[in-house]
Amino acid sequence: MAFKPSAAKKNRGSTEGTLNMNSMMDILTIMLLFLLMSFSTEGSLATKSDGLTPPKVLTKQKPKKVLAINVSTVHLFFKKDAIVDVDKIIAQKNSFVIQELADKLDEEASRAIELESKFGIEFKRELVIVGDSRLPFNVLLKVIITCGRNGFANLRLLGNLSNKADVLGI
Amino acid sequence: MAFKPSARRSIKVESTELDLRPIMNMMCILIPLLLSCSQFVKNSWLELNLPPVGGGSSSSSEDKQDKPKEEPRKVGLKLVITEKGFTIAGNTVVLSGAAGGGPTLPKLSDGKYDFEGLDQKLKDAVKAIGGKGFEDERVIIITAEDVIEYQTIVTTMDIIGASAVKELQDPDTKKIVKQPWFINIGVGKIVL
Repeated sequence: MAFKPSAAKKNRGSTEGTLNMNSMMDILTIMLLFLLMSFSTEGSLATKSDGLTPPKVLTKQKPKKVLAINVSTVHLFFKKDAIVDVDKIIAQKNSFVIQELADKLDEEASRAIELESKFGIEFKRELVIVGDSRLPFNVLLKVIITCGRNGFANLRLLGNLSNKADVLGI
Repeated sequence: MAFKPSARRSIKVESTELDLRPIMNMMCILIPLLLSCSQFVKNSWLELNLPPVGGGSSSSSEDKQDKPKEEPRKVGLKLVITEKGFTIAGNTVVLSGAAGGGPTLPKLSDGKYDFEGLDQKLKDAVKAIGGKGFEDERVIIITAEDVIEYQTIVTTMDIIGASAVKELQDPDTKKIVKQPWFINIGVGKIVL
């Protein structure tokens, strides 16, 4: 009796196994969006830089997005523009007011007051100082005094949240 | 003439799936790049309220004219940071160190500031001035030499904020709420 050829083998098509990447794509898209969002919300507050390492702080208080002044070891930045050199601030002996910063803050305060009167957006006089941990007190004090004299009395000092052992070295 | 069968019958329907591999490749590069650029740190901030321009008196000019007010008692607590250590002073008194002279808390033998000692001294100071009727009992002014680093100032502010607490009753919930004793930490310069 003739052997009957296998129907299963004969009709077996060459099926190619393809990986379903839809779920992987979903995960990666969410991750990418999350990372981009976190960059856009925190980018203006703290930007990673060698010359601008904020001090370590112990007090836990979540920062909000407010007007920030960045003071690196080299420049003082107002809205990402370097407006004055730190060496110049240190050398300034006759006054506690940094004129370049005072002019910028004055402009900003006038704009905020105008917005308050026209659209009712409250001018909270808030400002955060993002300074390098190695800055001398001399510079910090001049920045604080300049901010205070130009309508920004609610000042905050931004730092990186850390633990006691790390800060005090115990 | 025989009818020729349509050529369409032999057309195979090919699957038209989107080729996601190039997008996947791009994603696999972008995500590690963003992760490597990011800093995994939590930010926090310290409040620093400046007094309003023109003095902090809340009384009106009429009050001043009508009745001569009693001069408020002020303790004027100050913390001076120098390269030698911490000095705690009030309007009338300067706390001397263990050796008699010099700063109240000299630097430790390893060259670090004595933050633990500062915490204790501030607790003692709060015990001494608290409830004695000083108008500015919850105010402290930090001042420092020009060269003192920002990190030292911030750590000092942290220690001051955590050193002592004041218990207050919430008027709405009647619950006891703990608040840092020094609610007004200022930064200033002593002009001699």
